[in-house]
Formats: sequence, structure tokens, C-alpha cells
Amino acid sequence: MTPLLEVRDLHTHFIARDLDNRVRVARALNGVSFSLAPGRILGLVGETGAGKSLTALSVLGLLKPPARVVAGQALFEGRDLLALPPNELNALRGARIGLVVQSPKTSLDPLARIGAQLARVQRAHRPGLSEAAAQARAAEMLAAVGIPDPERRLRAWPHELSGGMAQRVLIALALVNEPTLLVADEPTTGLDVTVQAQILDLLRGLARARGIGAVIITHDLGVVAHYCDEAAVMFAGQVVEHGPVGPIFAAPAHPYTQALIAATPERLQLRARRPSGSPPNLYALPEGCLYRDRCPRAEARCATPPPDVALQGGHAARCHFAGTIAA
Amino acid sequence: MGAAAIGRFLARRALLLVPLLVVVSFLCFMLVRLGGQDPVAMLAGPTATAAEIEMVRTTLALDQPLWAQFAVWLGNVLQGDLGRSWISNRPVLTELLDRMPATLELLLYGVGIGALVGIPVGLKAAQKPDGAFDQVSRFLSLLGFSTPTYWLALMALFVFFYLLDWAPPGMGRISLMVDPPDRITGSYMWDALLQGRMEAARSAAAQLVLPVACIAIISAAPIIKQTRAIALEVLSSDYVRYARAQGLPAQDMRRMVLRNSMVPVVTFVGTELAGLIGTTALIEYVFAWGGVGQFGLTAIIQGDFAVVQGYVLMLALFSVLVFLVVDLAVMLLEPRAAARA
Repeated sequence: MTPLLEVRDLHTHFIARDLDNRVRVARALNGVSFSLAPGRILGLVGETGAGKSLTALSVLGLLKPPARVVAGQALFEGRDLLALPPNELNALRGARIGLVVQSPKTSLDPLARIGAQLARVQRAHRPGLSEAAAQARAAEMLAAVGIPDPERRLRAWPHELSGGMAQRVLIALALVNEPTLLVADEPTTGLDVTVQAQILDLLRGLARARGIGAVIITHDLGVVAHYCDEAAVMFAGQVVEHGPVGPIFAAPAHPYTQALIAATPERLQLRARRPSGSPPNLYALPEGCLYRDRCPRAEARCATPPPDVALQGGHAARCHFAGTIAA
Repeated sequence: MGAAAIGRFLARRALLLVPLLVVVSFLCFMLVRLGGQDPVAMLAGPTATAAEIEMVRTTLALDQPLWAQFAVWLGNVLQGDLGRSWISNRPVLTELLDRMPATLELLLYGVGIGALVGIPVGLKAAQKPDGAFDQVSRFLSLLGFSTPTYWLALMALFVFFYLLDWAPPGMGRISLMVDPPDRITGSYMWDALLQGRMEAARSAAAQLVLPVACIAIISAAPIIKQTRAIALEVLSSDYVRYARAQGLPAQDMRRMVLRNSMVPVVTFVGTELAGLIGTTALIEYVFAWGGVGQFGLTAIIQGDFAVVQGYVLMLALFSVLVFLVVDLAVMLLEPRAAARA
């Protein structure tokens, strides 16, 4: 089966000049690769600064200078999003690909009613659709994301919504044109814990019901374990381990994944290892394995780039020692 | 937004207005009293005897304590009596009202043109920060900022009247060769048009060109700068990025940026309008315009303090009025403001 989304060796750099007019390059993404089958849910997980959101923005063509994709491919249904002309990419965004972001309250147009925003995104991608039909569909969509009294909510302004409500509206916006791919970038950051679970349940339910493939970006391993089919663990702009959720949690192969899993609150109480140290300096990345400064296993050969080692259960890790070390 | 909300808003504003105007009038009353000039001596003339001076002082109630003078004055102001000019001996209110249209004409056309030019230029500059258009508009805006008002007015006359002879001399609102039209609105140009006197209308319009251009330049400079900054902020907002993620067409994006920039831009143009009425006085002076600004400026120089008080009070009222209109506009444009009202 052809993957719904296949990201291959994606490199994104921040290229800017410093005060002395020297070009400074921050290598934020260093060969991100993962793939997602239709209807599956992938959790993209890693610490702050690992490049999770940047991966999503790069793939969707939403980078702002000085960030720039310098190499790689992002194949969506076989077409490379990174090579598409802007108008063709625009035709996919909001139509075949929906995005949900982490700051719903500031991401809604403050001067347009909810119904108008839902109608606008439909009419942008379906010329000839009447405003009345778009509004009717908008009300259906609000009902589908669990907003009570949707007809009345169509007339609401963004500032009248709670954070959880706004996030539901964003999900409605992302799904109203029946996309095949949904990207959810930390969809529950900043929401109450109880609301977080509701939103994630809603996202998973809708994705399952409509056969939508989803990428959920999170720093929370619990979210990955509970809501995702697959996981891709990111560190310093690379996917260091990826595969089905079960095998990854049962037998994490990369030392970073092991440290992350060991750092979940339940395990920390058992005085397990915690992932210490800071991410590598993106302006001067070391050769070889990017994790080696923090890795308890590091040896001389870690100064060479580690291979992507395929392991049992369909998962793979980018480590010289993959498969030889236990958690 | 409903009419009821607007009504409530206006009522509350009107209530706020009372203490504000009392404070402003007290301040300008005191300011003039503490100025150090003795108006009585000036009024009575250089040959007056001490007894005559005392008589004038008593007639004008200037021998009373300050608070009593203020009470009397405030009572009169509330009845629409701003006192008389001690120079022309006409009621201050009449003098001000006669001259108001001339000033408003300059100010509204000037700031209007400044906004019509400045807002689109600012928006365009924000589209490509540091692009060629932005660089040029920033330079021009800086130039407009740093040009002194009176110098600009004098240079305009020097170049366009004296050197090029394209514009009429800066001698009032209509050519000395042309009879002014009868007063209907107070604007010579519109009055002449209404009365079908094309020659007078043309002359009045020609007189308007240079002073209006000066005010337009002075107001456009900050409007460009502010609009650019506001639009840049909107462009970097989460909701614009999210709109791009929704694949909205360029036309929708432009409308959204414009709509979201308008509230702060309208507010800023309002502050410009309120602020520039002071600056207009200098322009009026150079062009012998005969509006309230020139009138007030002359009164300050001559120590005609009933007029100065009236002028300052009028400036305060004008600002209050402008901000009222701005706030109403913002209420119409901005649902959050309407919700607060």
C-alpha cells in the first residue's frame, strides 16, 4: 500500500546573518524520515526543540524566513509537497490536509464569526458552493466535534469560546473539507487535563470514523501510548526510532527512547535514569550520532553516523547499538 | 451590535464628559490666570489712572478671589457664554464658531488625504518588509516626520508661489479679487459651489491646495509608519498563519489582514486628527487662513485670555468628540469592544 504521507530525509535550516554579517546556519532538521499509512495515527514525540512542530510546518509549506527547507521530500499521496507550486499546495491545504494547532484561541480570526470561518474554508476549496450550504455543513461539523447548540454557535465570535471549545472549532475547521490527512500539532497544550482527554478522544474517534490518517505531535509519551498506532521519536532534528507503538514501548531500542520512557512520572518515582543534558548546539552539530554527548553508551564508533537498524516487530532505531542494549 | 448597546455607550460617555470638561476648563482657567500678565492694565490702556484701572477690575469681577472668578466663569460657560474678546469686543463663542469651518476644512481634508495615502502605503510596505517599496516609503516617512511644520509651509509657498507661480499667495481662504460667497456651511469652496459661483469655488479650492498638502504630508508620515507596524503584527499573528494552513486564497487573506489592521489604524488616525488641530494653527498662521487656530495663537500672543480659555476648551471638546467617533467606529468594527460596552 502506498503511504499517505512519506517524509524522506527532510533538512530544514535557519539561515540568517549575524551582526558581523556572517551567515549563521542553525541545522534544525537533519534528515527527518517517517511514513504514515492511510487511516493510521502516528505520534511524533520528542523534547522541546527536537523539531516536531518544525517538521509539520516544513511539510505544510508554512515556514517563515529565516527557516528554509534545504533538502528532502514530503510525499503526500505520491506528490512531493515540497516541490509543488504555491497555488497547488494551497489547494491541498485546508482541503485534503487539515491542521490543528496548539493555540486555538489565537489561531481563529478574531473578527470573523465561527460560522463565517467554517464557510470561508469550504468556499475557498469548493467554488460554486453556496453560503447557505456552507453554513449548513458548518453546523453539522460543529455538532460532529461535540459542540452543543451548533446553530447558535455559528454566530459566536472566537473570543466568546473557551479554550477547549476553540480547539473543537479548530478541529471542525480542519475536517470540514473531508481531508485524508490530519496534522495535530500539540493539540492539547494549554487545555485543562480533563479537556485534553476529551479532545484527544474526539480526534481519534473522528480519524477512525472517517478513515483519516493523522500525525499527532506531542511531548507526552502517554498520549502516544494511548492514542497512536505508530510512534516516531525525534531528537535534534532526526527521527531516532520509529515503528508500531507496542514494540517501541515494550522494547525501546534507542538510548534516548529508553531515557524518555524511563522519565515518565511513574517511573521517575522508581529512581530510574532521567534524560539529562541539553540538546546539541544546532549551529555546530557534531559528526556522527547527535545523541552521543548525552548517551551513557557512547563509544568511539558513535562518531560515525549511526545506521537505521531494523528490529523485531517492525520498528527501527538509528543507533549503532540498536538491538544489543536492553532498557 | 444593537442600537441599545450604542445608546448605553453614548450615555456613559456623556456622563464621563462632565467631570472631564470641568477639570480641563479649570486647568485652562488657572493656566491663563497664572500667566503673569495683568489684563486690566492692558485693557485700560497706557494712559489710565489708578482709579480707572480699579474700575475696570471691578466691572470684570477681577477683584474677586480666583475660585469665585472660576465659579462665575463656569456658570457662564454652561450657558454658552465664553466671555468677550477684549480685543475685538465680540463674544468669544461667536468668534470661534465663525472660524471653526475654515480650520475643520484644512484639518479634515489634510488628515483625510494623509490617511488615504498613508494607509495603503503602510499596508503595501508591510507586505515585503525591507523590500524596495518599504525602504523608499520608510525614508519618505522619516523625512515627513522630521520636517518642521512652519518650515514646510514656508517652503511650499516659496517654491510653488514665489518660484513657480503655480499656487496663489498664502493670503487667506479666497483671492482678494473674488467676493466670498454667502455663508451656508462656512466653507468657501462648498458655499460657492452651492451658489453656483464657479470662479469663487475655483479660487477657494486653489487656496486650499498648499495648506492641505502640508497637513497631508505631516499626517501621512506617522500614518505610514503606524499602519506598517500594525499590518506587520497582524501578518505575523497565529491566525494569519492558520489561515495559510487552511489554504485560503490571496483575496481572503488580504481582506482578513485589512480587517484586522483597521481597528488600531482607525484609532491612530483619530489621535492624529486630535493632535494635529494644534499643528494646524501654525499652518493657518503662515497662510493667513483666519481659522480658529490662527485666532487662538494670536490671542495667546496678545494675552486675550477670554479667547485663550475658549480656544483651549474648544480643543478639549474637539478631542473628546474625535475619540467618541473613533470609539463608535471601533465598536462597529470590533466585536470584543462591543461586548465590553
